[in-house]
Amino acid sequence: MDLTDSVAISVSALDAQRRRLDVIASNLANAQSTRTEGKGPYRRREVVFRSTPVIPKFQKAIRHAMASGANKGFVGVQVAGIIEDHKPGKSVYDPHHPDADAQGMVHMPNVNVMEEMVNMISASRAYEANVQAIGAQRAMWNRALDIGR
Amino acid sequence: MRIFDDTMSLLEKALDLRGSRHQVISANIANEETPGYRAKELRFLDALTSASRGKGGVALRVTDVRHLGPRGDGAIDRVGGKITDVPAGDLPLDGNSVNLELEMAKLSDNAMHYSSATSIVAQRYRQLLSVIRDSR
Repeated sequence: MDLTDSVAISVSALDAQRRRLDVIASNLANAQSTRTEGKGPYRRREVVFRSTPVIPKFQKAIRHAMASGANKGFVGVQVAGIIEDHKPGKSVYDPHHPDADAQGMVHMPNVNVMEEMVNMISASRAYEANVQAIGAQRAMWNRALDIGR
Repeated sequence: MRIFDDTMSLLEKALDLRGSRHQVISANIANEETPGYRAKELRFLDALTSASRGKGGVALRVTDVRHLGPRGDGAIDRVGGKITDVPAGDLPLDGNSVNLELEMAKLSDNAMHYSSATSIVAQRYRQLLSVIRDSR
């Protein structure tokens, strides 16, 4: 029986969605950062998801020993990478700003706060859905344990 | 009379397949936002129904003990279920065909069927127990 695999799948998604929330938090926090370690204003970042087989090491070893092969189609998710968004940011006229250029324009980060909020809700809903999946799994386990009572 | 009749093996198989289906649904929910991911579904009800009615899909005549295939007793044990891609109509731009509402509905539907199967199994064991006790 392969019930623990589905928890591993859901956990991989929880991890991925949490990392996505980290990135969204970073975007929101830096919505006004006109300086970065490199040069110029902060650029918004975005995570890229990739589906990946998640089989706990122990189970992998057992399956290898039983030569039954891994199940196809049961894949979790992982963060494949974090990319920078290169769309241009707004320029605001503010000649007294220390980062203003010769024309008095300040280059602001390309973060759209509304967009980040929408992404944040989407990420937290996805997180909740995966928590529900783990909860359903736990309920099923409990029911299976009740058979013997 | 056999203590563990076909009902037991049918329920056992149903629990097994429901467990696997839960895994497929979890994978769909986990990949809800993975670009290019296609939702999958584990189908087994038809195969299980025909196996429990003794049809076993295609019944093969056995003329040699080494012959394989579904036949007679144990046809239920051989039902494996099939993983297929959920037919997707218009795909969004990221090519992901997961419908989260549908998957959540499937998740609770699957868990409820699992629970009802465990209830019936537990009930059968209680029946056996009361038969054993009352015979004393």
